[in-house]
Amino acid sequence: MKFPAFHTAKALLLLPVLFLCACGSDDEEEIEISGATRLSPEEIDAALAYRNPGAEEFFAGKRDFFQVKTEAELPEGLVWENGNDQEEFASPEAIRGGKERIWQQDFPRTLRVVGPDSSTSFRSFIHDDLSVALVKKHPETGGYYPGLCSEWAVSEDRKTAWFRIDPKAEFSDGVPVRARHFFFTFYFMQSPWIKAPWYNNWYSEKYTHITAYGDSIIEVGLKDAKPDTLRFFEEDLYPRPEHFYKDFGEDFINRYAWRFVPTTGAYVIRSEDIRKGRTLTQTRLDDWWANDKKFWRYRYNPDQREFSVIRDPEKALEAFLSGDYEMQRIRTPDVWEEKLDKPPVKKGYVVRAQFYNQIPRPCWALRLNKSKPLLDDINVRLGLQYATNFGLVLEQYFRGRYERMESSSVGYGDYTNPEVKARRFSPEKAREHFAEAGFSKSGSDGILVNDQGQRLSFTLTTGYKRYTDLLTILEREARKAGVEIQLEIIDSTAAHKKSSEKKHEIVLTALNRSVELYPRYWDFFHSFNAYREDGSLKPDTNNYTVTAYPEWDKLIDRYEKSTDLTEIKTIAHELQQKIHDDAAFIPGWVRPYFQCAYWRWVQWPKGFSARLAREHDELCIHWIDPKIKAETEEAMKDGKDFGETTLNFDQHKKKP
Amino acid sequence: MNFLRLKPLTIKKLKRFRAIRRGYVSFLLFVFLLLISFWGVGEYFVNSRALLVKYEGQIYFPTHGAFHPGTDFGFDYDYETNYRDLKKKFAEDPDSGNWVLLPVVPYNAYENDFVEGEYGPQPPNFERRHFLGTDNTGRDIFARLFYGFRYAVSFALAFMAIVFVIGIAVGCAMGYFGGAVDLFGQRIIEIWQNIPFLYVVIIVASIVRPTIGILLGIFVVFGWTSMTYYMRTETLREKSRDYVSAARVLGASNWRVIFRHVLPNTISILVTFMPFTVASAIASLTALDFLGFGLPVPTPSWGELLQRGVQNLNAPWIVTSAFGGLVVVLLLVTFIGEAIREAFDPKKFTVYR
Repeated sequence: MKFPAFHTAKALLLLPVLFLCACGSDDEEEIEISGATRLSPEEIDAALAYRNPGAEEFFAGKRDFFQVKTEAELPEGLVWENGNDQEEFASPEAIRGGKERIWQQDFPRTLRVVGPDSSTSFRSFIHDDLSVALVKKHPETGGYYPGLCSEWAVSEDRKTAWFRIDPKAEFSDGVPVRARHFFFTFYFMQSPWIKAPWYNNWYSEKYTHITAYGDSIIEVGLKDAKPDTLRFFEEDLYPRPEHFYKDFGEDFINRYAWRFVPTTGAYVIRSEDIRKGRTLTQTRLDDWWANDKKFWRYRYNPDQREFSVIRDPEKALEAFLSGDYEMQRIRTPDVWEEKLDKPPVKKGYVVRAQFYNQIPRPCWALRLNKSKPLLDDINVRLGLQYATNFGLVLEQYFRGRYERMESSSVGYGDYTNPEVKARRFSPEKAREHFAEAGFSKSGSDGILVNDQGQRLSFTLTTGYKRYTDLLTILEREARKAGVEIQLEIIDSTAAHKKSSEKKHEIVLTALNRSVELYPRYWDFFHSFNAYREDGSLKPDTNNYTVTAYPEWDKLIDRYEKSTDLTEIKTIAHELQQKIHDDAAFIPGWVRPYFQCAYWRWVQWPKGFSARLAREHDELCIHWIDPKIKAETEEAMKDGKDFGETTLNFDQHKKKP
Repeated sequence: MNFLRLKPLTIKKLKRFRAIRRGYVSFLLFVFLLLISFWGVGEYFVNSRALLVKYEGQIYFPTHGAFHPGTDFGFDYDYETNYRDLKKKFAEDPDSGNWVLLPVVPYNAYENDFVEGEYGPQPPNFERRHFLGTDNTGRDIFARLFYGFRYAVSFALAFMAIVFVIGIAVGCAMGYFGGAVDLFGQRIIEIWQNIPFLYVVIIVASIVRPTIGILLGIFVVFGWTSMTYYMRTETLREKSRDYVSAARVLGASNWRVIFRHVLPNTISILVTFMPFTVASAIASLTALDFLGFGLPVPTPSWGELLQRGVQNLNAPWIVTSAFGGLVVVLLLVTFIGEAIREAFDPKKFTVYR
């Protein structure tokens, strides 16, 4: 009706043209450059001899930063450690083999692990949970175990670390890992071509030097001393294969989008296993260099991991229940209780498991912007604290399965102040505080007004659409305290922008926290991240409460610089109390465990997972048992019932 | 408003419309639904506030006016009285002479009616007067459907009114004046039509909190063009008729020719398009809500209800209610439209035209 036939015809004509264009560019892209294939010995020698001209120039310009010495020059008296006295967390019973099928909401937009479009959940499968770092945090003890290195040493001032690279360590193309590869990382990560300003900044700001002693020992200097020095090397400073980046240049983002980078991890992606938009398969390296290395053996067991795309999580759940996928992550109680209440679960083909872990929790909380009118009044903030009914949310929305977050820093063991308890919902107390702020009369709709006729109304911004229901409960309950909350549920990027520019009034966010020894405060509560020098609000920081107290600044500065754990603990406790008293941070909820469901042929070590694991698949310690798989498939044909199985691992549950 | 005066022919058409039973009954039903859901009226049927309260010898009408804090009726809280609790409280003490009269559905579209120990959507429960059950947060589905209808229909009617005014004005101008006005007008409209409406809505909704006004604005800005085409052709055709020439020869002004002669003769096109415009506006709004770019949370809306229903297929009462409601309303509107089209079909009365 609206579009004449002409338009339709035009569109139809254009379609094949577009399609042909797309095919053309695809073909060009698929040049056979892949880190998945093993090189011949000559090629390996050539790869080791290769020097990137741009990198050479870069190193030459920074002689102080990049130093090359001989092994004989290694400082004396280093205390080498290797963490091998810790117990392994994988199980020797694990069976290698089988295919694990995994669903993703989106097909990965790139195989790169840096640059635009790379930080997706898919990256954890090809990098974060896979690549072998210099050291890794032991998920049970919290200590470290060796990854690429065979042993390490840390200086007394905790500003310098040495690593002896494992002689066996090599990339998936067979090129051994050498000190030079870490040099190249600095060049690579500081390059503007990777279009990753955060990394650019990190690699130029955080380190003082890197020194190679021969080919197999590196020394890395850090600008600031940290009690937990090795943490730096757990998530950053991966070696980068210089020989693979021969074409590294301005067009890196596109040129390397679909080239598989040689990895130190157990899985590779062969070019023929990428079916764009549909599936992508990882193949286990049979002769992976770390196959027999302690802490790495018995892991990464499936021979293949196949990723396919299902856009709708509801549909994915159905697909999982019909046996299309091995495992399913469970995030909300309704999935655990109702949506999994289906025959495969009831007959025991699918097992549900719940594992209590002990990790710093994502801090789901409401943050009040103190630079906004009304919210700069402590009484209004206190009123809002009491007007927020997280109790009802926990009881009804989370079905009594989650816990209240008590303070701004939960899950840090001794560094969490046990005295600080979040304020519970109380319309009476809320009204008392609002009255002190001048809001004592009720308008005709029940919302409080002050003498100037101003309504007590705030906008709550969030980018988390999935928590809409939760927020509507808070909004309804807040009315009981006489305050109106207008919900602004927008696109996550827009919400992030709005809150990092401090244009919000109240924002619901969580900042995901990696496993650290003690909490951070500088990012969230230091005036440096609140105001610019000219007094205007500072954008792009995480100080969502716009906290700027000189007294706090001093404490936080001391905290940041301190290497004394007792002092750190004292200050952490004091700051948590101050944050509580300041009332701009309304703590939300924490999930004290992770949950998953899996087909019964997926097997796990005895304790299922480890204390510091975030999700079931993070450590890759499960395996697929072909016998049980055959048995289950047989049973499904006959309708045999194994009995519903729900596992609860509460060995790490906090005792109240 | 001379041009709105009904001509004998139009009266005949309306009579014919009445004779088409299916369309006419649909029309009556639709008007009935409109009336009871209308602002100020719907509150008497579906509302958490009581219709009448007799407390300590005094009669209250809480439906309208300011809210009554719990303290007004002997509760110890300052927020709005929960009249269902009040009813229970009065029932415990029948001798006091206090009583409450609640509406048929004693819930509004927003409140969370949680039952302790029960989680998730609850199936229909006549005892608690949740006739269509509740959603994940204990909100009454019937109330949300009811008030969602109000929003959808008012939105659609407002949309239709504005679009028609713009469409008639622009279309008429292009058809009647022709020449450069027509040429440029059409090109501009063609360009305008190529702006992807859905993207604009998605972009706007992701940046600001869309209100019903903003949504209406966007719908109108991108929805007025199609009407201009029909009006343009109709005007062009009427303009070349002898009676228009005759009027001009007699010295009638453009204004008079348009309003007195051309417009009344295009009325059948307008009337025919009305129901379909309404139906498509309801459907588009629902679709947008379904995708999460529609009315602001927690406004009751059909799209949101459908979306929720699809997410919770284990609670079939949600999706069936929303789907049923949508089907019924769109059917009614379509039946009305069909009947109007048939009634206004010129072939019935004349061989010429």
